[in-house]
Amino acid sequence: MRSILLVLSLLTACSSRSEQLAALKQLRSATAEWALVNAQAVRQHLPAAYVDGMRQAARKQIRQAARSLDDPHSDAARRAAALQALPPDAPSDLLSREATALKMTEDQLESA
Amino acid sequence: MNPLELTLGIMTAVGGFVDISELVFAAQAGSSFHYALIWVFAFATVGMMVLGEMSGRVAAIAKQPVFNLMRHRLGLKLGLVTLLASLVSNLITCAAEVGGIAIILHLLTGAGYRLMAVASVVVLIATIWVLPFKWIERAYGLLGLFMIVFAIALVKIDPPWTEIAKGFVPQVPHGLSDKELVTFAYFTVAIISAVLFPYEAYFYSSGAIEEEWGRKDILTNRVTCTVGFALGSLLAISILANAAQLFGPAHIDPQLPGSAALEVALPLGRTGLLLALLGMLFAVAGAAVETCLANAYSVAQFFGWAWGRHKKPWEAPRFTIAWIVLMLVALGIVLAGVDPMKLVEYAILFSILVLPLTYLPLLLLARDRHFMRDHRNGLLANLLGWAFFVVILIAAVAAIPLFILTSGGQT
Repeated sequence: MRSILLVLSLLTACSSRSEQLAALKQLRSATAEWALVNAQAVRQHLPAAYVDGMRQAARKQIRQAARSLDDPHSDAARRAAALQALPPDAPSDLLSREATALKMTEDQLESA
Repeated sequence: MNPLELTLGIMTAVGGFVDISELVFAAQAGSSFHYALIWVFAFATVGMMVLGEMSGRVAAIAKQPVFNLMRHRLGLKLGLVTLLASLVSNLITCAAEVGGIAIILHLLTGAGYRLMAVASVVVLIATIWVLPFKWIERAYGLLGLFMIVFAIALVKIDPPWTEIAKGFVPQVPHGLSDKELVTFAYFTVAIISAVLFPYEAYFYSSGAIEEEWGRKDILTNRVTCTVGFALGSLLAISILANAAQLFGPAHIDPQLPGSAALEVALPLGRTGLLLALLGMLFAVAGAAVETCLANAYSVAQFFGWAWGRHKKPWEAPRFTIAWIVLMLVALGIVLAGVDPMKLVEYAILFSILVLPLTYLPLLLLARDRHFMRDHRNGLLANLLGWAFFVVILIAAVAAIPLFILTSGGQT
């Protein structure tokens, strides 16, 4: 019985860690995508409908990922909250820096 | 041979290779593993050429589309199971394609997603109703060729071509963690599934019968499969390679079909972006038509109804009702708010499970002397066909565990 409980708790821990990684990955990727869209919107004069649609999609993914993060006080959760407070046309440099920071957090969690 | 005769293969391949799932999977594969998954596309493409050629040849010589064979070769019970599984798989895929069209139209026009889903289904139904089969394949096949802009973008960014060439050699990248290895395996299985989608075989073989192929069309079939599927594969590999160059270094794992268009916007600007979106629109719309008709073909052929777009809609009433209802159900799934990208994941999973049952009866009939006479499989076709069948079986067995272990490739 004890061994079954041990296996179950290990599986639960693995599953939770996996979900956190997936949420972090989504958060990082959506942020990086938002940064790229904003950079190109200025540089290439991309059509407004495309830019607005991609920004909406990226921000929706950030909201979804933020809801999946377990610890509201974690570094990732704080960054997610800050990202959600940014305007759609936030500077691409800022968004790129956030994506890089999130990538580091993701790598740490993956190697832990 | 008239080059326009190739359009069945081009529509099947462009709709099959660069549909909504491929737009996401190819870009994610490139972003996550650079060029290391190119060989899987190339390998699966050869498989699709072999099995596609077989399905076209069987349709031309034995006048048997794939689902007729299934019922006779697998028996009623197993045939019915295959029919139900492929209906679910094709319906999910069709819904994903409709959702994809709505997303692309939303990005092109700014109009609401649900409104665009309804509008696109109205247009798709109207085109299938009004246009003869030949013009359906020509319209979607040729307009889907806008996707060539992805290959042009790749040439423009001038990637390391030797690295891309090395990607064609079967490999597992060095230095991957256990988790990354499992994800790599998942992508391998998912790409095989996406390239060999069963609806391509149903559509292609039924299309051959729609076009009344016979012995004289054996060469057309061979060229169509080779050129059409090679072109589809080239486009998919271009999407992958662009993503490896542009998205990987920016830490982007593209989750949306709209992201793929950015690959073209970066080197080719606003015009490139618009061409990419239009190409994606027509390719995905072609895939929606293929999946919808493939489903109606399957049901009609299984139950022995009159079928085909070479007939007037009222001359094949149950077939006509089937494709309209199936398209409306796909729209219903989209309007219910199911995320098209989630649908893509499930479509890939369901498809790989249906694949062995799709291709087994085909392989059996293609080597049958009684039906195929002097056009039965030769040694090479048999060898390749059965080898790919074994690969499909292994992929089908591995699909569910890999899907669970990687949360559908998300971790």
